[in-house]
Amino acid sequence: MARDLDPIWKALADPSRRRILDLLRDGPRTTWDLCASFESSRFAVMKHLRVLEHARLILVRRRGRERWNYLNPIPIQSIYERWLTPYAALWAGELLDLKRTVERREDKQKARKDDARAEARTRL
Amino acid sequence: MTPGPKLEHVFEIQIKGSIKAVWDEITKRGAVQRPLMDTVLATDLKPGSPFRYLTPNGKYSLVHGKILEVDPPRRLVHTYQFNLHHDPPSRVTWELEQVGPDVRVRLVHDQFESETKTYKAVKGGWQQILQNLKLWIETGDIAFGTKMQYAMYRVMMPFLPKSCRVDERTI
Repeated sequence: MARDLDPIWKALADPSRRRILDLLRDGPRTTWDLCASFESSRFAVMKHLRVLEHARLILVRRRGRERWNYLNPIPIQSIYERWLTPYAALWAGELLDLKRTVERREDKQKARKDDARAEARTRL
Repeated sequence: MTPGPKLEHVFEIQIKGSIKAVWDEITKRGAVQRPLMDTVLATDLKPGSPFRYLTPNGKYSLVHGKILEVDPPRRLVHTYQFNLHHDPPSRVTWELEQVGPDVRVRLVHDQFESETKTYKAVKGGWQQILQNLKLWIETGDIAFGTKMQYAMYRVMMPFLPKSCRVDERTI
């Protein structure tokens, strides 16, 4: 299951590719426009775009001769779901355990107090 | 009048399963679509016909529109009007493609006239719907947080505006 996320991790590992995603956060851009935002060669930027597209982090739609690149946030959400949702469940479980432990201790203390009171009463 | 690519929502999710299972879920009628905000799709699903997404009790509708294209199990296109806002109709396109063991589900919501309330409102909604569609097909259940949200919606249902009441509108 985690294998599925490999292309996403790979795509996110590179700072230039993360910058491309940052640029797309405010809305889609053409490939030409993206290339113009980088000092590296057009070839290098195109290579990054291909890696991002392979990971489905960007989606490409053609309009005439233009290629529009859209940020797809869903794979990043999948990382969140994969790694954090189980932890959230785990934490919820831990908290419930804590609640039970505390309540049990309180019950015991109460029982002990009741016993002591009963004992005191019998002595009187 | 043609709205540019800047005013389009484009999302894609990969779901393990068959294209038919996904298609059957997004076109399911007469029963609740759990991933799709717990709504019931009411339509004859023919191009040109109206449709509504109804609340489970059938009393309210949050979205209505017209079916534009039906090409099972690959493509469903319809207009989209969010009944909470009074914006002109936009357009939703579902594109399904089987890629090995996965179904690639692409959702495009476009033809917004401007940055309307609907444009802003649906962005997070579609992401949630797609995530839940994936969970539903792969595990048979939706996210816990979404279930809590549905429970809250059910409580708030009587406070929905008149524009969402089914007997108030004719389509």
